[in-house]
Amino acid sequence: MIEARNLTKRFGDKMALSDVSFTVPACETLCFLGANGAGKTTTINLFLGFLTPTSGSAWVAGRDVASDAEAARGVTAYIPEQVALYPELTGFENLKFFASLGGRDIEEAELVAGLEAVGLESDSFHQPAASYSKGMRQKVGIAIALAKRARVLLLDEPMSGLDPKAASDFCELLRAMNARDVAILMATHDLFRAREVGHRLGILRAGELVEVVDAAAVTGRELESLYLAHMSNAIEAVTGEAA
Amino acid sequence: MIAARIATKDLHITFRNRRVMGVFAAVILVMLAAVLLAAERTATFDRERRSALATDREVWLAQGARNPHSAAHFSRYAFKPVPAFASFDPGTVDYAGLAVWMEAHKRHPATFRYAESAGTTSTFASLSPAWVLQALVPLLIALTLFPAFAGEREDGTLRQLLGAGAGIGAVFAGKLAAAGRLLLLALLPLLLLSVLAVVLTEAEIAPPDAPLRAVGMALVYGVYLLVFCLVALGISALCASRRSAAIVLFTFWFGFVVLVPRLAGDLALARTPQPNAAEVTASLSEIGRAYWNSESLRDAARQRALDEYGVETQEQLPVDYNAYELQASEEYADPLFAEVYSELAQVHRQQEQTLSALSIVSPTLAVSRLSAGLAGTDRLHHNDFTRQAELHRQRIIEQMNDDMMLNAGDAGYGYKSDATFWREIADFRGSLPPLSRFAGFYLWDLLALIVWLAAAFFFAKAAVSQAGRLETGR
Repeated sequence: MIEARNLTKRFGDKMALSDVSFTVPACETLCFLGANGAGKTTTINLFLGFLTPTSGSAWVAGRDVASDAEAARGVTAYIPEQVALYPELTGFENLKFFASLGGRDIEEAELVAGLEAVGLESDSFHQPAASYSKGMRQKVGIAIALAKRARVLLLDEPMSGLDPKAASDFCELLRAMNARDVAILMATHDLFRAREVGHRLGILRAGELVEVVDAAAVTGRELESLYLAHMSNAIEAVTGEAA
Repeated sequence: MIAARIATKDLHITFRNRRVMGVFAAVILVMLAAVLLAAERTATFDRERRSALATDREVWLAQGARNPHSAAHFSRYAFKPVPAFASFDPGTVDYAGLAVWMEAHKRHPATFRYAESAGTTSTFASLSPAWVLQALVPLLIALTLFPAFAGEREDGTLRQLLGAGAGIGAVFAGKLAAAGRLLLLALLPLLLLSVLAVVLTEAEIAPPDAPLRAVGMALVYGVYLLVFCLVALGISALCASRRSAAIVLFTFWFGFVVLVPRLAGDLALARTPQPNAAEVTASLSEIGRAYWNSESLRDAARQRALDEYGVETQEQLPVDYNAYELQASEEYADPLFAEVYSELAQVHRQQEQTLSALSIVSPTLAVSRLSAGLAGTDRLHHNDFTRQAELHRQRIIEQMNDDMMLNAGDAGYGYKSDATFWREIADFRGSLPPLSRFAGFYLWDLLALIVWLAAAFFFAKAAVSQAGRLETGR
């Protein structure tokens, strides 16, 4: 459902992503972990069609994003760190508008059901989004993906800044999306939440996918050690080069 | 489809923005006031013109028995037909004279300027739908569209939009469509009211090609407002914040709508100064006297009369020689008057050419000139009125000279005509020339407006593409 084939992105002399390949089938979540600048957001941007790969290709639901970006976006939903909603419109109106960009005319009942499904309080449906907390906005983001019937969900640090309860609710929603045959690619710094929601965990370092592990096969402590080991290797590589 | 949805969303947001709605309400009120005031002013002009014409005719017919040449000095007025479109765009109507006194031996300039009698209310009285469209609506566009892209970028919704499947081109088209629909919603009822005012105010003086002129005006203003929408969207796309977009757009509006047209007027006047009015008047008076002060001209006229009637002496002439000579003096002076007015027209033409050339610098200058031209209220139409008035003057003076020449007998200046003859002197009935006569004068302005449209479109397209690239990190 989500596939990277030797995906490479270079910005001038800087290698942002180097020959990365992976596949995320429907019903599965792949979480990318890595320090700032490791290539997580670049990967998401390549799958959104915001960036064009230097070489290789990004595929969603069988569509090459670079050559058929419009069709690819039609089946993709994107949730950034801060879901940006129009503050003058209500949550319901925001949902209706963003979901309609996928080309579907959606019944009001389906939209309401979507908002209920993500756990948004019904009395806030028709409140201006300006009054929404971050958690509420993220829920609307998921509702947009649901309404759009997206087959692919791309998330860039979606739980950053959420309180534990909201983050837990959000993880629950992602699992529900998986249950609807949605393939999810999530970039995050949060090892704990990544292990909770991800089926597989990929560690990116300086644009390279250095390891992919099965989330169920590692404990939290093991994941942390593995991650830190890769990060310290990176530091050693940098300081060694400097020496 | 996506563009239409973005347009609908933008309209919803705009309708909920009290600041923008307040400004819209204010502009609509000003426009409404402009429509009503301009219609009332044009109606007043026409009422006064009809009343003055009636009084002029009454006084003319009631002058009693009098020598025709004395009547030619008493004479009549040619009242300018104020075009029906003056209630939309008064153009030079307030500043050019509304009547020409058609006296013997003299070609008077048009007098009775509305601006002279308007006093302290003159600024308010100049309010017109055309001025609102030319100056205020661009400001309204700037105030509405400054956050179009800058605001979306600040709020992060532009990236969200692009990520949700909207291409940057669709976002651009959607925002342009929203602006167009908003302007149509706000202005269409008022423009229809304006058309109604034009139709109801003065059907009698509507130009025969009124529909063509109306369509021309709709197109010109449509293009003009589209230019501002495109520029506003382009600037908003280039600016990183609402604040900077608002400042840049206001500066653009002030520079191109307020400052450049004003400077262009001053420059046109500095480049081709208006001749001194006193000198022109003195020159016209001198022409009027020239024949009578020249013995050779008078001798030549006398000889021509003798030759024409095949007689030896003035006394043998079968017509009144005084009247013959009066007509001869008119025929001598008329081409000289025409020369003075032609020089004045040349000055005006040079000033117009400067303004026309500068219209490439400001779309407001281009549209104001095109609008007045289409409304029939520009200087070209005014000059055509004075030309028609002069032809009528020559006709009625000749008629009066002929009356005296053929009917005076031995009475000479003692001969008197009465109301029966005065009734034969026709009222001046001016007509508006067809648009095609002046179309050539405005080609450059039209071209300037088209260049502005093309430039604004490519600027907006490039700016929006760049905004899209910046947002997606391309």
